[in-house]
Amino acid sequence: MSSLLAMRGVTVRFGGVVALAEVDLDVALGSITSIIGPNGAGKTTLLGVASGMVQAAAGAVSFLDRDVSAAPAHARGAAGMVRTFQNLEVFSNMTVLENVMTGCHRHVGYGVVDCLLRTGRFRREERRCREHALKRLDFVGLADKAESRAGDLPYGLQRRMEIARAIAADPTLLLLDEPAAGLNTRETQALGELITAIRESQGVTIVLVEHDMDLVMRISDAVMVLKEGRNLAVGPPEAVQKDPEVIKAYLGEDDED
Amino acid sequence: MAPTRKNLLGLGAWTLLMALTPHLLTNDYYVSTLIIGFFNAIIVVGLNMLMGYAGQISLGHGAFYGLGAYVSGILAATYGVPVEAAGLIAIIATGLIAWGIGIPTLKLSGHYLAMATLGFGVIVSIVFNEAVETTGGPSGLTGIPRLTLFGITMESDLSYYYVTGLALTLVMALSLNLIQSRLGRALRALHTSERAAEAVGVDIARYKLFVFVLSAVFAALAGVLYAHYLGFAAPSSFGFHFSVTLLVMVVLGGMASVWGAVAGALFLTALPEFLRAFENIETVLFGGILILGMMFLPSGLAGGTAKLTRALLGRFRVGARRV
Ligand SMILES: Nc1ncnc2c1ncn2[C@@H]1O[C@H](COP(=O)(O)OP(=O)(O)OP(=O)(O)O)[C@@H](O)[C@H]1O
Ligand SMILES: [Mg+2]
Repeated sequence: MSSLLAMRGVTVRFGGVVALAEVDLDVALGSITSIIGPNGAGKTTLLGVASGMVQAAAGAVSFLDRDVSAAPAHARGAAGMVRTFQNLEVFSNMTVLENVMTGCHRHVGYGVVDCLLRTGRFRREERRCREHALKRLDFVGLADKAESRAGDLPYGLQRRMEIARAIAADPTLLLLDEPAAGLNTRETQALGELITAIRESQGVTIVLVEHDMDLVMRISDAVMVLKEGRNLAVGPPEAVQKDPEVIKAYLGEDDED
Repeated sequence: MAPTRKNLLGLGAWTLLMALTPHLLTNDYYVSTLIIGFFNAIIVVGLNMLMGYAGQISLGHGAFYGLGAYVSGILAATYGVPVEAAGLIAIIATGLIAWGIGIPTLKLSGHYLAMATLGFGVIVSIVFNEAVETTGGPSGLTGIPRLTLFGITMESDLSYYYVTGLALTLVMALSLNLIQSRLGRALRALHTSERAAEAVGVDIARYKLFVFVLSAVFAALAGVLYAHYLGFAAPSSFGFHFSVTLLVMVVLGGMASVWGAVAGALFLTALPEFLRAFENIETVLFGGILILGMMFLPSGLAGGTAKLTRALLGRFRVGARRV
């Protein structure tokens, strides 16, 4: 079978800035594929194009063997491609549980009439959604925070909650944008385990944008390096790590810091 | 489900209070004030869902109210359509118009809805004023028959009070149900982050459109009840001024609370009546009370009451521990 997500020749311009230039990305089903690169390389923009939130000037995106280039963001979400955000996008006015229940949106099976009249189906589905959300909260270790206001959670827990919300959608493909940003070493370690567990227990394919090189090299099956909006290298983590281009352009920079 | 039981209790208490109130009032005039308050509350509950939950602003709900009143009034008074049918047609027609306005504007993010509804309100006002043959022009449409339901005409104010109170209760119950569902969660979610809502598959344009149309339908329902109560409709009751008053009711009541919406509407409807005693300084007092409300109740009557209850309960608990 071909890739779960395939992006071909993706080009994005913001005014004069070329954020992405003919970038290709292939994500194999069941893999953890990481995208790394210096600040401003275009990683977030690439996730934006994949999820339909950034308009590409050229290129094609296919998901589950269907061309979704023209599909709006919500349709991609509903089709099972769910993302998180580099700058947290928490529904701060809702409880943690309600946030995660919102994640269930795409597989709650009732219509407007059901909720206006609170039919039997409504109650059944709502109970199922609630239990599902609680399970996901438990999975990320936030079960005891279900009734807290999401905005009151400490930063690290808000990151976890965003992941719980995303996996409550039972995605086929999960796009994570710098989930370790702002986390300490111990939290990052735990996050790595969580990401692996999501793949193992739920069979979710994962795209990970991350700066933390240890985390990336430890859990990825494939790594793609972006620099100034261009593909620099792609391959298994060990190979990418040894790639002279990458060492020169990216990892070398890190050593200088 | 606990929250539902809470709603049921709340609605039960409300219905009881609503049913008893006319018998506690000494002056029949207050009953008619309450009826007008109920009309406003029906609109404000809908508008609050649009503003408080979905974060969209409409400056045209006065016009939807007016459309409900005029369409139903004209059909019944001029064309002799039975009142029930006239009302139903008016509500459906208003909903369709709102849908037509919402489709192009709600696809865009930003305050396009506010602008579109502002323009729409102006146009509707012009039509009410200028289409004299049909609407009666600036002096108004007269001779609208009283509301009839299942062959019974609601002649007395008391019967009208109960019909309107029941309609409001129904609107409240439907709204409460809607809010505690996937739809309500989607609305609150897109209010905070449209991107994050879309990321989990929420079709945000569709949900905004739905709640906008629903709020217009509620406004039209209130308009129908209004027309067949007063027997009369004039353009000045449905203009920009009234649309803004409705927004003030939402904000004063407290965004994102059905109970707050009802409280805000009833309070602001009754307030001018109470202030009438202070003839000369009536307007100043009205403005002063609004400003004080905004200063000391930033989250509206609903938020203020919740805070007060918590504070009292807290004190009670502390007191109990000391004993
Ligand atoms: N909405 C936007 N408008 C204008 N320019 C943008 C916009 N979003 C991104 N850019 C620019 O596009 C380029 C790529 O940005 P992007 O956010 O995709 O990088 P990134 O690899 O995610 O960086 P970081 O590691 O800092 O998150 C940058 O030069 C950035 O300034
Ligand atoms: Mg980024």
